[in-house]
Amino acid sequence: MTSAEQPETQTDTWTTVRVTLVESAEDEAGMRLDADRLEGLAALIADREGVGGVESRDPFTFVEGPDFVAVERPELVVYTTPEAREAVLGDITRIASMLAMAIAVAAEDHVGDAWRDAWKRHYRTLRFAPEGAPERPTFMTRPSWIAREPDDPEAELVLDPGRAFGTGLHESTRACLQLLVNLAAVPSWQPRRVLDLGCGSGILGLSALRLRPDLGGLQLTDHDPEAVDTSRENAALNGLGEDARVVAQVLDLLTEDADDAPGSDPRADFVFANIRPRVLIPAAARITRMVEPGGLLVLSGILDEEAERVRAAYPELEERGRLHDNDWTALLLARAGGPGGA
Amino acid sequence: MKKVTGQIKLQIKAGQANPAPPVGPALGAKGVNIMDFCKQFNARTQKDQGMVIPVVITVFSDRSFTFETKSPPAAVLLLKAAGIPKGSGEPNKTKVGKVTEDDLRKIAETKINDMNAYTIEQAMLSIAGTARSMGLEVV
Repeated sequence: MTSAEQPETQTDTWTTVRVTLVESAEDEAGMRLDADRLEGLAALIADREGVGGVESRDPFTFVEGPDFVAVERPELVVYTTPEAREAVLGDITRIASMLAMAIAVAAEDHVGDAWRDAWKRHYRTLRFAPEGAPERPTFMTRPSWIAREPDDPEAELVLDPGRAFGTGLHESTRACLQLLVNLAAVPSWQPRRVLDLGCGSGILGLSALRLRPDLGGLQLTDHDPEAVDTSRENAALNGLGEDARVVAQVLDLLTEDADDAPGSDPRADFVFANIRPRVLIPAAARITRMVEPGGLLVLSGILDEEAERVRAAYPELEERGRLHDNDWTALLLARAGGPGGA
Repeated sequence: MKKVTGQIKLQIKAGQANPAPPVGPALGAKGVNIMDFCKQFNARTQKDQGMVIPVVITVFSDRSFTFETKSPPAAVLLLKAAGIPKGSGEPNKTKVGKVTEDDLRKIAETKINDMNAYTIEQAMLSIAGTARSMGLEVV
């Protein structure tokens, strides 16, 4: 079920009970201990009737940004309903007394449904124009709840963010999409097969298929089975769920198994590897073999200062381009021989 | 790789994460795609249905997230072992119930991976401490 299917007009009510320790430690070690004690309390409260869940907040759960609440001392937030409020308050007091913990509680009722769509405000449509023609985007990624606009580029990928990586908001993914859009502006660039290593949401491989709809095959791989599932879901979201050309599978680039059986790894004439140097470097020889002669490889997920080390791990490939986005670098490499290239 | 904006530490019943209040707002307000989380959490915790499960959700700056489930908290396993029915009765500071060495061992085995203990015996000692702090007698 997608978020679009959630009821749009309803007003939610819920109750939060904030639980704090009456005597709380001042230093970090003491606060960690307080947090541990509160977690025990949370476990017992979460087990009671009428409690939807218990959140533990402490100075370490907040890092940055407006969505997270910074707290100075560890605390619990018990999520319940207005109906269960009194019973739950009674339970909290009894359980705390059982654990010999002196606590203060503050209950608050909430009304509203803005929270349902709160997460969506972070996502927007991303448009990509080929290098040299910034005013004419040729590709975009779009969350499903944002409608197309009349002047939007025809080629698009609908992508709802969630678990796993690759919403296009991250520099490393954005750089790959930019390189792809640059290549796709060259009519002679006609890859036959695309391989997306570390596919995450599947964004890169699926985007390639969108920009080259007559592609012969697309293979999406990730070491994480959940990412593979997500990439399948995203293929389906874009009407590619039944497309026999699209294959998603688990592949761990750091296991030796496939190397022991040469030829079992997938190969393509256009390969994305948007991972991290800790994989890109040790798996370099294997990734190089996956690029067919005359094919191209995009390496990304690389911080600027790591770029040379990664580049050096691919001596057989010729560098065709390099793209920087904030602190991140993406490399476009080519394997000699065969037809194709850009 | 990506910047972390924060962590959400939640204890919820296995298989019962629901993209609605009361717990939905805890996630939605922090930028997490609630439907996606609930689907994954419920699938991953199906076998522990109804048992309280701690989950730590790490939210990144692009609002993608990962999450990790832990074994049920020792406190909950102890109450279960002591045969104290959840949601009923009034826990009392003294003589809430009894747990045996065998119970402690079973709980230690369940929790050893989430504990700072190198041996089952160390884990049992720590769990016995939790039991006593809850007013449970170890027999």
